Amino acid sequence: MTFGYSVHAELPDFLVTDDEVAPPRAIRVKVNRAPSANHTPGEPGLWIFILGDMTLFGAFFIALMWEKRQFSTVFQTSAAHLDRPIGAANTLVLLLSSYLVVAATWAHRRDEHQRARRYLHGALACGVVFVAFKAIEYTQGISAGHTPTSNMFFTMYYVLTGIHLLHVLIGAGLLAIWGMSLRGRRSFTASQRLTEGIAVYWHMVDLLWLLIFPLVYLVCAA
Amino acid sequence: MRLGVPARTTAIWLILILASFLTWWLGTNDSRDQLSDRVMIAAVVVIAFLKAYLVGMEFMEIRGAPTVLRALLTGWVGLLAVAVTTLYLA
Repeated sequence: MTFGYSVHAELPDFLVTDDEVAPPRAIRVKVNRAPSANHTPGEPGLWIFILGDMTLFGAFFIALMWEKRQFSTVFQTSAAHLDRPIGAANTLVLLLSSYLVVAATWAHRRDEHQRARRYLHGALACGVVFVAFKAIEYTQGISAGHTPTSNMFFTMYYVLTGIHLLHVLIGAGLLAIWGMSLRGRRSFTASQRLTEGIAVYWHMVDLLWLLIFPLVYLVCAA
Repeated sequence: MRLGVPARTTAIWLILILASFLTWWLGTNDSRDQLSDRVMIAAVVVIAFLKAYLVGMEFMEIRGAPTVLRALLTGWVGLLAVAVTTLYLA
């Protein structure tokens, strides 16, 4: 009794691999998913929230300038105590983070997931620096006796920057979610609305600080 | 290192950085002359709203969005800029 047999003879034709045929090479396709004309970034519904949020901040800016007229001297002397270099540094930190988020959006559009994640980590690091600077600023202010109940200026300063800080924290959480979703290497088309929505939110956080810093730290002190 | 960001967006970003330094100079410069101080602070307000407009148009990609979104951003920035400048100067 013999067990010797020819492998190929026993197998049907379609299971026999032909070593002569080279395996197909991975095809690299250059993807270009630049937004088309008239493209609404993210969800249309998101914009109701974004514009509503911006309108609330806008009302706050007008109230701030109104109160500055009423309590001109209090506003001048109080705003002069704010740590301007930290505020200015935070402007640059948020501008850098926004640029990194733009870079991450474009990398994701090209399906360069690794790259997009690196940029998002950079943007997140900027968010952490912003929060750290803010913590230093609040600590210094409170230990110098400037609390939310000190006067009208400090009430408005803490409320305005506090609500903005909350936006930074939410935005950082969203950037982290985006970064984690990139691990699944989902294509941009599949996650476009989420991705663009998060990017728009983060840019809004930046946009609002570009107004809060000059209005609260510089104009109120003038 | 190439970041893969459109050149236009990078240029706008550099303008935003330069405008931030200009804001610092205008806002912290004490000329001891009340009139020029007021003009410089008014310029700080105008520059701030221009920066916000650029972030909206370029980074939030409203420039390529439907007209209604562009109009809303322009309206928000324009109205607030006029209101804040008037409240400061008047």
